Amino acid sequence: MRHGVMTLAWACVLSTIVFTQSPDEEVARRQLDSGRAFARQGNYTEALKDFRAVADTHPNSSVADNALLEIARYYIDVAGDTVQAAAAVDAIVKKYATSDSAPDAYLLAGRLALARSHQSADLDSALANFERVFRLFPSSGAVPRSLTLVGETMWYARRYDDARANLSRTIAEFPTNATAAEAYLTLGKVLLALGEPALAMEEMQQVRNRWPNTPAAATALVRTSLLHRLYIRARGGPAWALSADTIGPVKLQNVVGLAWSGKDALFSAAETGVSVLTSGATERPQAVVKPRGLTVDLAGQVVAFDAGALRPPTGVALTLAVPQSGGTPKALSNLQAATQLSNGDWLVADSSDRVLQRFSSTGTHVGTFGAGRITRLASTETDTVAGLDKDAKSVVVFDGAGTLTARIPLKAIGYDLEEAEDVTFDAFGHLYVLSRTSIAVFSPYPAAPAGAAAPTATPAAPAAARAGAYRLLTVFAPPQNDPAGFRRATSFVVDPSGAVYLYDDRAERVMVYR
Amino acid sequence: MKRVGVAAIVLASLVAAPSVADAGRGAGGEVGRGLSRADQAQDATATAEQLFEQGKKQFGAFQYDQAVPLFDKLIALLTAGGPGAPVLKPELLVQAYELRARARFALGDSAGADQDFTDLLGLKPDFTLGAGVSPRLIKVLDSVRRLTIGRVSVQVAPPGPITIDGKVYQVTAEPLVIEIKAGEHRVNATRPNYTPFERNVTVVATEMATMAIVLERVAATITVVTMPDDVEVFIDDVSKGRTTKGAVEGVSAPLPITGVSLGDHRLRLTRACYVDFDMPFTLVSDDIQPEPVQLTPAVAKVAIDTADREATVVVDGESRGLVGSDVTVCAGTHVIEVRGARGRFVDRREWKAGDTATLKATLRSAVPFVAVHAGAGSTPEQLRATLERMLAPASRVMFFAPADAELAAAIQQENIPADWLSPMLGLPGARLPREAVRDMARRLSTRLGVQGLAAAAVGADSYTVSLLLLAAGSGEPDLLTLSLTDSASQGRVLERLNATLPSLVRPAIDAAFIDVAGTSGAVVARAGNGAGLAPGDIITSAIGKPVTSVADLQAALLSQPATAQAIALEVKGAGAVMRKVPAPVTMGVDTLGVRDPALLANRALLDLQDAVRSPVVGVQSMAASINLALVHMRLGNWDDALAALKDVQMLDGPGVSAGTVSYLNGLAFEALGRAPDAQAAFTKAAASPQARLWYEGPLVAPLARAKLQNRR
Repeated sequence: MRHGVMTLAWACVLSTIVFTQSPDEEVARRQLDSGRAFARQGNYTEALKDFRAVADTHPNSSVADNALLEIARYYIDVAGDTVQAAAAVDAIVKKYATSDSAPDAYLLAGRLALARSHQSADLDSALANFERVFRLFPSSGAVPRSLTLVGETMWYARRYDDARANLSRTIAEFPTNATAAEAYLTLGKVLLALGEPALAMEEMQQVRNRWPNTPAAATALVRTSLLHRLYIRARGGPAWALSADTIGPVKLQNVVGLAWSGKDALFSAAETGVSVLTSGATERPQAVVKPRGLTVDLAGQVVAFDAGALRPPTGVALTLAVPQSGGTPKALSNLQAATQLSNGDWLVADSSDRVLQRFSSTGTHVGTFGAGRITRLASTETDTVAGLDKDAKSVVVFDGAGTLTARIPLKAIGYDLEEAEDVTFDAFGHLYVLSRTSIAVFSPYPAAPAGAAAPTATPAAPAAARAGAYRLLTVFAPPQNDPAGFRRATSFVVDPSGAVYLYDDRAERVMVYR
Repeated sequence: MKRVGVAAIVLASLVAAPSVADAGRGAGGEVGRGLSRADQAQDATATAEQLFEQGKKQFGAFQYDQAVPLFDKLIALLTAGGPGAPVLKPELLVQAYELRARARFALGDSAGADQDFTDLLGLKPDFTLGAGVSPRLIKVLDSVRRLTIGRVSVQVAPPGPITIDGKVYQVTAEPLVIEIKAGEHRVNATRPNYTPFERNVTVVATEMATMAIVLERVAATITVVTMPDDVEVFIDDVSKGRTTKGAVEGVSAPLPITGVSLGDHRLRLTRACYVDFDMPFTLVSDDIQPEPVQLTPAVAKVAIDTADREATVVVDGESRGLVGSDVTVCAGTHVIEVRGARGRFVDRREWKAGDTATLKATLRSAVPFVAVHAGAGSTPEQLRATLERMLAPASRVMFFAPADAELAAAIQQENIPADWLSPMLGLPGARLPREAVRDMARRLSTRLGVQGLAAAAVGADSYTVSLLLLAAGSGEPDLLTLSLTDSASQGRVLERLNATLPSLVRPAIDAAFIDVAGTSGAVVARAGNGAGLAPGDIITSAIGKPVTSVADLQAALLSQPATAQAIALEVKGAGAVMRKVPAPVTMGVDTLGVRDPALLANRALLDLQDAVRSPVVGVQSMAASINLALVHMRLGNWDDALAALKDVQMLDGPGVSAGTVSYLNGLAFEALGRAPDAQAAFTKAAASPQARLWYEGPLVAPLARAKLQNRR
């Protein structure tokens, strides 16, 4: 027994010695692994604790930078907290400038800049950070993604030739990297912007050919389908045909707005409130009394608005008020339309105003935007804003600063939209205008050279796009006595594949056109 | 008187003058100081002959009293060795005794004469005096003979030589009677295969002793004759030598092997390339000579079946000439190689006599292990052999262990440092510049007549092996890792090594097809003139098979033979009108994904170098050249890339075309610092709107424009 006690005592001493002598590095590594394990399980609170412990308690370990990177990724991808994300990224860039996390840190810095806005200052910052990746770390595994993001950023900046070159470089130099699929998809948008829709479809098809059965392949399918509808199908006949699909109740009354969520569900707003019309949808509508309309925020969530506030599905409502010279802000009380810009700012149209008002994402008034008595609003990811100005009998188009860039008359050769009711954009930036009995689609991009069946050697001058000029692509105006005809459409949405869901107030139902 | 006086003076001078032997003796009487034994013997002989001549002269002049001293001296000289010692010039001694005896007899010295005759007969028992000698003297001789000489009758079986006191006598089948001095004598008889005989015999004067010697046979001789010669002969597994060339062509000279004990034995005859001959035999009493033994050739016949008619056959490192005729090898283990310009085939096996086989020699790119670093517990040779065995299933590359001498000589001749590949295997050492490695690889490969080189090193854990493959002309190796104990890892490595290059040529229709949601079929997005299609057409069937997507259409297209010129399509056109379209098909070049990390660039280089050398023309040839250029680019061999592109002539058009070649040229020129050439090439590429980097890869025009932009 005495021997056994002595043996046990020695074992305890030895284990203690081992424990107290564990190197800082080993502990740091284990804690980083622990945090990653929590993150995989979705337990981000505990994951964050571990990551912070590594970064704060073991700053000299070889994994401190990795921990900061995990923190940054969490905040940008999960929490959506760009401030915290930026702090973590900043710490990596300053304290661990030569670590293996540095390239990804610059990528995140660029993404944060893009998340701030798609205005020129933020685009420049994004570009600089992405370019640092391949300039400072040419052998890093982050290079392919950085090239793709450069291409994407240049697309936002409307530098289409440069975008094309960078995206082509990604595809050429990293053809098997997953980012090449993204590059193809972005290249599709760029080529369309350069006036080469057929080539755009051809390039996006590569995603399906080379990465079949992937989410990117599914995205490519809807995008090529959309372009096919407008540039091929529409040339030889109607771009849409009435679908036998039904959506929503057989009878639907007084719909004031439709919206397509980021999770591919159709929402409607009527006097009775907000509803989800797509069966099997996981999203739940928010409770809104007498909604005036619907819009979609940057996260793809459907935001309803009533007379005076924006009502997201979660969180607090944004009651909007415009400062007055007298001091007391004037609450908006007759909201007509709303749309969100790339930096989170809201643009709203109130029937009492002849300008659009701009509010921050938290509801703070920023200023006015544009001019016109706008009844419907839509915007693109490049902050092109379209508004239906019935008084002016036109659709007005503004850039992200509120400068008028185009004015599309509601009636001109080839179309009559005098009974225009709604406007929207698709993923490529085509502008759709709904009148009571027709839909017109306009493109901001130059037309392909006549008879061109092949790519052109020199890039088509994108002057028209830059100047904001829109050209009519197609008009869908089924005869009213045709089953496909609609008599009193009041709102519509276009899904990612270009299918149209419109509410016909006369028919009191949502009609689907594919 | 005068005559005598003169003779006396001469004699006196001779007597007075010190003899040569005396002179040789010196003050102390020592013999031979300063002279060799041969010289001494020569001197003694000369002196003896002188003395004999003088003595004989005196004897002839009846000057017996003068002669006797001379003969005394002579006899003393000739018997200086003492009793039993060899007599110098025995014939001369016999004459000296005779003449002294006769001189003594003439001087009345009977006793002296008797003694001399006794000594003489001791030397030569059958001595007789010549004619003209006094009968009284003859009587004296005879009486001495009667007192001193006896006879011995010797018979020996088997007949042959005997020796009596060392003197040889030939005894035939009949007894040999020998007169011999009375007394005891030693008789010896020796024969091969018989027990040696030795016995003393006592001879009594005037009597005859009889000796009948029967030698005991204890062994026999076997004489071997072989056909061919140069056969090693074994008796009871002990080598007894080799037969030599005989007088008759193809038949050896007899090889007698004596001393083979009586009884049972085993005879074995061996010679390389012959079947061993094995035969028991028994020696009873007589020598034997079996019939000449004809050995059967032990060879195997090997036919080589190979497509390369200019390949050579090498057996155990020695060339046997071009393939074409069968090869004969001796029974045993051999390494048979077929070496061609494009590869090598190696067969190692044991061949048995009479084997015939056809070796199907598919030449694979030969890659010898030129540097191997084994871990603890194994040697480089063992590791080489293990890896050769493990990688034998590699169907496109043949890893093998080269002959040590050949490798050492090649390394020395090309002045290759021992550790030139070590840093690439993770071993200590300074990494050489790529160009230096490339140059050494090329020279060493040429010297060894192979297509590439390999090296291997065992890691710290003794099971993981880093394997390096370096094609001739490459400075950047492929690196693979395998575990000696994990067959799955070995399988993965073999899979990579065996992966065939994807098709470099593929059929194409001059149109672009897309999938459209909700549409079954492949939709035409773009169509070239002459394709028979229009944008918006929907392909619903190809070569009779339904097409529901672009993937279906591509599969149908790829299933077309290389000679197909059109593909039968069913097309739904505008207004849903169906029509059949035989869409023209062209074979277009495709390029490897050289950025693909899974691509083994050196393996690809071997395949492509082979493809370029093969006799194909047209698009196949262009595809091989362009892809060879691409792989060279990946390996940093820009000049080789340019060389590969030099003769590629393509038209401008969709897919890989003239613009592609221009762009690749531009990249190579740029890497080589040839700015104006790069500028020109990129300008050309930028003007090719449809050229792509690979079959459906990125357009080269934007890439070229970006290059031109960067250059400004």
